[in-house]
Amino acid sequence: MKARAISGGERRSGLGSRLREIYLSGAMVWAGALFLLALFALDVGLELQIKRAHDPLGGRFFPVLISSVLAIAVGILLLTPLLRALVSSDHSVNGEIRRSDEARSEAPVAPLERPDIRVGGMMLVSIAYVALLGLVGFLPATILAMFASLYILGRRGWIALTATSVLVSLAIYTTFTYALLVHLP
Amino acid sequence: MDVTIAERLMEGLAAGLQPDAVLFVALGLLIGIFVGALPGIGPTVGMALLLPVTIRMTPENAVFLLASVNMGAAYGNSIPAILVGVPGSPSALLTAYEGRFFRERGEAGRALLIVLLASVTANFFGVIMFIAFAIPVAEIAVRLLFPEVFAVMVFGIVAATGLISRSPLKGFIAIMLGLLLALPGQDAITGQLRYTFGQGHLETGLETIPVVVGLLAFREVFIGAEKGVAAEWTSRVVLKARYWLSAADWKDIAVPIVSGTLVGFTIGVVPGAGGAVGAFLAYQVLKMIRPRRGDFGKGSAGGLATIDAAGNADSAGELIPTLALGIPGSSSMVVLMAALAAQGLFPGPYLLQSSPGLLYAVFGAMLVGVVLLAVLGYLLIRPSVYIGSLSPQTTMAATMILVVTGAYALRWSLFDVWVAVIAGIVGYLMRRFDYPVAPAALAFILGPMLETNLRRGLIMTGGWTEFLSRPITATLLILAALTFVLGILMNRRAARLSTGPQEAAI
Repeated sequence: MKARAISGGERRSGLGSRLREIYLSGAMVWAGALFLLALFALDVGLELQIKRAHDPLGGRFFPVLISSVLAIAVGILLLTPLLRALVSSDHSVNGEIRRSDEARSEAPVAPLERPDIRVGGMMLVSIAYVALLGLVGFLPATILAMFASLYILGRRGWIALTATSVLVSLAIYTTFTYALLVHLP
Repeated sequence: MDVTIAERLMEGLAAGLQPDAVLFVALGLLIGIFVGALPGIGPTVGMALLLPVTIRMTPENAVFLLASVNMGAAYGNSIPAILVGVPGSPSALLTAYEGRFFRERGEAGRALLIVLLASVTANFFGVIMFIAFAIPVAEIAVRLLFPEVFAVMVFGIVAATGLISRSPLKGFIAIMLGLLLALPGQDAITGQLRYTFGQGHLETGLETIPVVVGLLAFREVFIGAEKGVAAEWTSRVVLKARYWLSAADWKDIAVPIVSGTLVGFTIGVVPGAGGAVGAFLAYQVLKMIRPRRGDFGKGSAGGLATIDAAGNADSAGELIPTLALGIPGSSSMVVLMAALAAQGLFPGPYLLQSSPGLLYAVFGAMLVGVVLLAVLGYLLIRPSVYIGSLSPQTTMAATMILVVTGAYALRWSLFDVWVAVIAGIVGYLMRRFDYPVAPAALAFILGPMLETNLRRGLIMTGGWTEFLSRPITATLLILAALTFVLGILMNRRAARLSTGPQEAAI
């Protein structure tokens, strides 16, 4: 049982904190990005100048339909937590906050033991790898990318790391260059 | 039997016996067994990695290779499940459960042989049932016109999404995102450019293969990094030099193989149901058939056989809606569709027109595949122990390199590589935030055809009223709506019943 009634100010503050928690979460940022993409596609679609050619719909219909329906669907997804929070009587910040508090209280871990760091690391390696392909060529870029990926994924031992990186890169290079006759960069 | 069909079946068998067909089937089986045995890789990633290579083949050989990978992986899944207790895919969860007792009794070789026998038998009957059902369905589909084809595609996408996705709204968003990705390029009727932003690379639209490889294969690298790929399954099992099944074993597994095949095949035909559902259902059906047998969950030969028969028959069954109607039953079938789409062939109503011999050739090649699976599977029982000693980190890192190299090899273009990497990041984020990825890939593949059929259908019929009042079109669109509603209801029921962590989005 609550010791005292929750004041209006505390309720507003609780709602604000809860909404901040929700809308700063990865899922909502991703949904927001999809919403912006849909709006951008809709804007481009509305500007299309495509002749009709006996077509009852015209060339603008499908792009506008897809982008506007996507925007509406993502919009519903984005608004649902807000509506739920508004109709809910309990604005106390629980769940997410408590979990993050617990996470903060845990013992410190090495960066690469955290899943998000590993995923971010692999994304950076992928992007750097493609950028390097055009600059330094296939073999050096691939050996470096293999080495970095293996390290991020938890493989240790410099000799094993180097040997695996070189051997796998050479095997893939040989297969694509000599068996599939692909001219690699 | 119709003489023409009999002749075509013989032609199909002849096509399957061509040296290049046998070579691609054998290669596909070997790759399939290998990738199936590697946890985290599986048939979808294995097939997706091969996509850039298939563009250089004939459409027939591309299908032979990819369908064989799917067949081999259905068997390969069970190898780590039995040898080390780690299932290659969700459909092998029960194999790991029953297989553990065989391993502990020192009978891992016997268990692998039971699984191989179940796989071979289920695939044999699966291929026979495939040709028996696929041809009549395709014969009907070939008579469909633009409005009906549009409705078939809508139904296919909705069916795959409604049954796969846990959130219908997110499933719907995934479809729309896939359709949005298909917009750049040329207008479906006039050929005028749209969404190209002055980029020459976009004038023919985003290439199918980099997008599908990124969405379905590259994302696995990030998923692997998130889960952690510590080498926890390196235990070795010593197999006997020779192994064979006793007469009692043969008697014990005959009925389970038949029941598992029937259940698995039926489930395979249903889009989105997946091999895991078939395996679990077949196991329950066998328990009902044999209520007095007390060996279930204690290393039951019958249980093991029915699970694997179901998993393998499922992979044959899902070829029917994929090739005859253009409705893929799983993410690996989406990859198969992508391979054909990249060659200008669209599975479904147009397939019999554009490539009349393909279904028969697949039948012939898959029959050859069954024989090769028996031989290769038996020969690989002992070497398969060593697959478990491969480093998962190396496999995952090599997957990244292979996706990048494969995407580049397609047109020798770094633009396609960027597309694959971005699609991989998008695929990972979709999976992380619980959006189904396979329907997005399917919608991307079908997007241009969907628009073309809608607009040509409207030109043909003269307006929406005539378009929607065509009986087959109306029926299919109503079915699509019902399937979507069914997906919502199933989702709500599953949410009420769910007590533990749920499986990741497909």
